[in-house]
Amino acid sequence: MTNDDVIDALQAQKQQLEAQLPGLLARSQNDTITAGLKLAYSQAVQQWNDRVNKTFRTDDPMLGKLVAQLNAVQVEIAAMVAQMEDLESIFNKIASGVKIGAAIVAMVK
Amino acid sequence: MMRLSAATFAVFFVLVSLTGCGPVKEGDQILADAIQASNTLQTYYNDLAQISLDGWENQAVFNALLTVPAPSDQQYNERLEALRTRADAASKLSLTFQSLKTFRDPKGLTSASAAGQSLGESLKGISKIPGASKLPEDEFGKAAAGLLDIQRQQDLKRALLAMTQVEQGFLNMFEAEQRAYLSIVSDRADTGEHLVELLAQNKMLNPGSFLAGLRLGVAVTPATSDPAAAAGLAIAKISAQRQKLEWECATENTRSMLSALAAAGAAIQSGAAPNLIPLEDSTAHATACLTEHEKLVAPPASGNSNANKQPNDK
Repeated sequence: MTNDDVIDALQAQKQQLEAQLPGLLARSQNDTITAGLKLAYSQAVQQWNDRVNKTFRTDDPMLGKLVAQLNAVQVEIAAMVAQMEDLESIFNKIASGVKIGAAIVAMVK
Repeated sequence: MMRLSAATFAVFFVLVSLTGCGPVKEGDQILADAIQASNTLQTYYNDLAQISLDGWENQAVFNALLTVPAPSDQQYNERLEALRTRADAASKLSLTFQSLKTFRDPKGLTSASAAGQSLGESLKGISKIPGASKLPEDEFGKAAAGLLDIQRQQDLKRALLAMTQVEQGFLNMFEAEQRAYLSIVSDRADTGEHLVELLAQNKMLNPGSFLAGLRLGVAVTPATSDPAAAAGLAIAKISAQRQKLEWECATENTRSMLSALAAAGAAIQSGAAPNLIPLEDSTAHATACLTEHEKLVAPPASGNSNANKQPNDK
């Protein structure tokens, strides 16, 4: 697992949320979920920015597992959005992705 | 012992080349190519700093339109500072090569000493930047020590050896960081694409105006219909992909250019005649890709654009 893989995974997460955010916010009727979606996106932007600014290398195998998990979550979110699943489920999945992103950033600091 | 002899011979070869007592044209060509490569590297970093600024702007507007808190100023400022420092180091690298050309003239030593010292100071600062790779520190550290002490004619030997270390240091730094360079540009293009969609949804931009950029050989009038908007958004998406491809081209050729520059320096050190063709080719290709990328991201000329025309504007 390299720094390049981490940058790619965090950028993919940011871009996925960004592409979906206007539609998800428009669908949301719940203030808590709306606030949560905005916070999740802000955190994804921050995690990617942070990683780009700290371009050093790591070979931690645990990091590889986390990045694989993050990629899997992104696939699930894409499927859920495509199938128009309920917003709360999508939000929970988004929140879990951002949580994994935070764990990745914390691990490689 | 053999290595030392070869290095000494190589330095002698370069000195002879530069002082006009030998193959002057070849010496001039090496330095001319090195100057051109350094200038291209400076352009690369300056363009990347501008792209970072544009990306920050896109992000801030995207967030504001969705009432998401603004992104961190500190993160973007740190990145801009890092890129500007690299551009500055590339500029000083070019100035040092330019000064080395003046060694044929005995009066040139003063300007070469000053330029070498300036580059040395610049390299010392690079490792302090947040996000800097640790890889170049050794090369840059040794080079800076050599360049900061060019006081006498005989110190030129050390300066030339230091330049080889500098070239290798720039290559190592570029290779360690190039994924981040690509990510910055890719993210800027993708967020730009998402921002265009959002602006169109908010009636702040007519996506149909992107049709005016089609290369059909005839002028296309921007339309405000739904099909025109869909076609315009498709063009915006392709434009984002073009920007990414051109930057990938610029990055790969800049890396090749630095590799060829380091190889030329290593060849001189070993007493061999450097092959300058890869250096010249990659510099030309990197410059072409940087120019093409700049065209793609440049704002439309004032008065010639319909990009901001409102759907209901006459």
